[in-house]
Amino acid sequence: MSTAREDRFRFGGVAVSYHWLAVASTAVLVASYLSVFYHITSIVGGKNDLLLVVAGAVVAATVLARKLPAWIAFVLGALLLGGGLLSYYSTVPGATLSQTSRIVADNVALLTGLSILQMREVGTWALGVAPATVFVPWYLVFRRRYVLAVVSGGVALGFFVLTSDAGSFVTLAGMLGILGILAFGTMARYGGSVAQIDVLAVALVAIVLLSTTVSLVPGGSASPILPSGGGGTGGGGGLLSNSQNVAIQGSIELSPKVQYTVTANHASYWRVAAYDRYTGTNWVRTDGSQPYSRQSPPPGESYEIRQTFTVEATSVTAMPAAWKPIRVVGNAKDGLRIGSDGSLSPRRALTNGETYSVVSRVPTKRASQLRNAGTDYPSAVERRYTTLPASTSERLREKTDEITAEADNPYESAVAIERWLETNKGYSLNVDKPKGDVANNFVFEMEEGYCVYYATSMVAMLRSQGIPARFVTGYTSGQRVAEDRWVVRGLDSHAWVEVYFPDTGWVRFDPTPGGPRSAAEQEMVSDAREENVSGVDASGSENGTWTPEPTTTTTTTTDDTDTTNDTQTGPDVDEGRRGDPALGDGESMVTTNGSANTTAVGGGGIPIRMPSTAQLLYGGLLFVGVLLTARRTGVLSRVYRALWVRWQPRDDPETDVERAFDRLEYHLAQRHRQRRPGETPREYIAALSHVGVDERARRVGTLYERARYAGEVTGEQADEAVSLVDDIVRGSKRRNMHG
Amino acid sequence: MLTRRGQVFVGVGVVGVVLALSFGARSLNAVVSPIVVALLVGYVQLKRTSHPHLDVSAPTVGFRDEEATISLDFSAADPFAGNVSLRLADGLEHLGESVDASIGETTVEFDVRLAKRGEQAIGPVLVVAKDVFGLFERTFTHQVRETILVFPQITQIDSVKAVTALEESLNVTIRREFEQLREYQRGDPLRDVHWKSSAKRPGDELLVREFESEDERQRVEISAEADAGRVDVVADAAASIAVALLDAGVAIGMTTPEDRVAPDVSEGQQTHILTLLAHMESGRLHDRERSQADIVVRGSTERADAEVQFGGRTVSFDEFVTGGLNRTQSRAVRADGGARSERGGRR
Repeated sequence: MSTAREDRFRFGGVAVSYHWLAVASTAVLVASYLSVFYHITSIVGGKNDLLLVVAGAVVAATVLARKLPAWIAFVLGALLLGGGLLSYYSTVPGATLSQTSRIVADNVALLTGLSILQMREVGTWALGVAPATVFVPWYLVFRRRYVLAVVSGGVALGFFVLTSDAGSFVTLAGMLGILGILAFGTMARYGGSVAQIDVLAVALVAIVLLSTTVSLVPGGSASPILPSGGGGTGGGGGLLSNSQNVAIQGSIELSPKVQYTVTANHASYWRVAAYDRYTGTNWVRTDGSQPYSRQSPPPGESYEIRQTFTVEATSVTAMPAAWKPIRVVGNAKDGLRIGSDGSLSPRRALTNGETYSVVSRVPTKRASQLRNAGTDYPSAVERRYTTLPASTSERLREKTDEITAEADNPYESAVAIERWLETNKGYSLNVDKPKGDVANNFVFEMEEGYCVYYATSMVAMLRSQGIPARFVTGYTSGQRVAEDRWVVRGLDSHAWVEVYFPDTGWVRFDPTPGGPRSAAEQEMVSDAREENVSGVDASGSENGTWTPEPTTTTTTTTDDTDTTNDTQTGPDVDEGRRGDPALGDGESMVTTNGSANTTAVGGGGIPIRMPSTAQLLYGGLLFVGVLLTARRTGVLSRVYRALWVRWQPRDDPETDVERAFDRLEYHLAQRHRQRRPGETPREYIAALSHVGVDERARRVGTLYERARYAGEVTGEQADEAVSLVDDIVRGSKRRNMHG
Repeated sequence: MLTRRGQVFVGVGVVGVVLALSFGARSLNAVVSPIVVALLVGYVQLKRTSHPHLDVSAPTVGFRDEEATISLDFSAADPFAGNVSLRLADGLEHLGESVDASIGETTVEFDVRLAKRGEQAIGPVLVVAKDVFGLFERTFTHQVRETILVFPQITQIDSVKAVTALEESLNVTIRREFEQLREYQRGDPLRDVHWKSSAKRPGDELLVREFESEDERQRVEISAEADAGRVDVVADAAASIAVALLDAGVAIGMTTPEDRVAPDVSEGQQTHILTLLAHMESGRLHDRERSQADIVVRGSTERADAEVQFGGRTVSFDEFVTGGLNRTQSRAVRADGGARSERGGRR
């Protein structure tokens, strides 16, 4: 039972065995999902640890696969994965629910599109899971179990595709790896041929072209089944719909339409959600939510706000409320959930006319107390709210050190950063989304931006100082239409910062300058009124803004910074900087709110947005595909021959003459006929003399015979032969050049 | 048409689309598109694959228990990955199931053991072609008309001893008397060289014996019969005796329950006898046939080996081989008429 089998691919002088090509394809597959792990760890830290464990897994797999059978891979892989997951679940705090049901619910959420970035302690998870996903396929491919390697690697890649963490480019690279393993594995087993390689190349090029231009798969943005059941049903959440993440956009436009009217005993920022994980380009809220229960008030001094919201928009999926909402009054609490950030999250969308009432306790922002709050942060808070991605540069920390040089405590640092941002950056809704880390770019490169940029930068700067801070979205208080009544429009949406102080809790800071914003907002509202846009006004807001009588007991702060207002005892009324609109995730806002149109300007277009290195790879692949096709169709060899017959590299005289004769013979064979077997060069040339083969050819023939049989040709003769052949093949009419 | 791997591909593609519909597209397009392209490319590749041309080379004859090599010479314009399997008649056995190969200008060889006597058919040859990703498969069936004629197994018998034994028991002179010695001429069989006399002569000249005319040569009739289950041993024994005696220049006739080959010394005689024995089946001879035979080889259910009856004696074949003396190694010999001849050589 034997057969001649070609187990290596020869191209030119290079021979690579198909097995090693399959190994290389496995490397591509593994690298595709490792890039996701790497991305995770570069956001939450542990990048170097990841590289270390992955290198360890690769080395271990390579060494062990030499000795041990294939099934060992699954045993060791299961041990690695089990150990990793165990260490992960043991670090996740508050796993009071039955462990298995929690794990199952978590994984269902992940597989239906919840990004793993929304998992708590995702760094530990990545370090726990990555070694197994590298070890198993790598081991199997070295055992030549190609299909099993594809299955194990494919499961890992598929997981990240389903969690929406693997982008199109990463997924495509992984799929090409998978198909490469399958094809090279087939060739390693059956023996390959050039024709097979060509088919593979054509397939790969077609795949790249098709999947980057055509979308075969229907479906919109991810809508995971969350273990909490909330937030995910809204078809993509929404900016102000308490979604799980906020992507920072470029230019945005905000709707002037009324979203809510609020009746409250004090003005406040109406907070929708807070985000803890910063990825450099967007904000993610980790961990899920819990069924509604009465919340504890903030630890320090606080005052109460009773507020009733009436929904004026067609449909909304957020329940804004002043921080910190303690309890919900009435039947709105059915199906209500409390997010890990303390925000209210309705299970279903609220429709026009619905109302809900919330009692909040707002921590008093008393400077003297906050100055002395110290830095004794709970470890859970510190770990969760001081992490920065690797993309945030050291330079930002140095800059922040500079800005906060005179601050003696976190409060003063926060105030210094807030003031620096307010004074040094201009306000504009028309900005190009920066490439790379948003905070870096806003602080060092950009002249202006809107609230999302201000808030993101401030959080990043605070975290660089080790101060726990988070990114908050919601609405400013809106237009005050009566003493206890506010109209909140889509353009009142805003992003700000909460900073944690021991014994006080989360305290609001707003680095966005208020003045220019209010003006922009007023203009938009008037424009909308002039254009008769419906839904711009409610509760008499068209009659202008209600202003409190000068005798009001409350100290109205018009100071933008709250810094000097040490003596402020009353509620913090932010009339002065009301109306900072703005904030990203315009896309989801459109999909859910209907009336709150945020349009991303100059956004996508192409289904896959690839980095330039990817474009290089893409171009390279296309080139290889075209080259292979050319070779397959014989174009390449014809091109080579055409060049070979026209230009001759020089060597020693004998080789030159022989090569010259070969060229002549090839040329004559193309023009007339091939030399017959047994026909001497002399006979051949003589036989062709009647069709116009002249003296030059005969001379070359003579020189060839001399070189071949007498072995004595001089350099001049070689030159002569080469130049004669050059003349002949290039069709020169020059005749009779006797040497 | 779809392989299991192909089914998994289709499954993953469908699940991808369903998940995209239910929970959002994510990057599932980059999963589904490659799958669709791979399936398309695989399908087209196999669709365009044509029936490969096949030449089968196999020996036309062989001896039982020998090995023979059957080579399948494929030639396909566009090479493809294929799994080649060879169906064989019951009488041919091969270890190893099938061979994976790239089917282009490819030769695949199967070593088979010739397990049973008689005409053994080769084929059909099945080639299961796969596309480059192994997602589809397509079976090409080649009907092959080759057969291998399997002769009985020959045990070497020292022909001189056998002849002597027979001469003594049958009380006949089997060995032809030579009339005179003469000088060796080209074409004389070496067995006729008279070494003793040659050694005494000076120079390199050899002397050969010259015999009586052909007609007067001795003939020996062998009959063979066997009960069911003993046919192989009887056929082996009868063939071994016949080959040994033919080598000694005796004209041998062979009778089996099926047929008869008349005594002859022609070149093809050995092949005729071996072919007769290759097809031998269990059965009884007529008494007349048995009585006419000089040697009767019989196999009865009661005895494991064949018994050889001649001149009123009955010996087991084993005894006959050793001649009651030293045991000769049993080995297969090539019959000079029925040697392995490649296809086309003897057809």
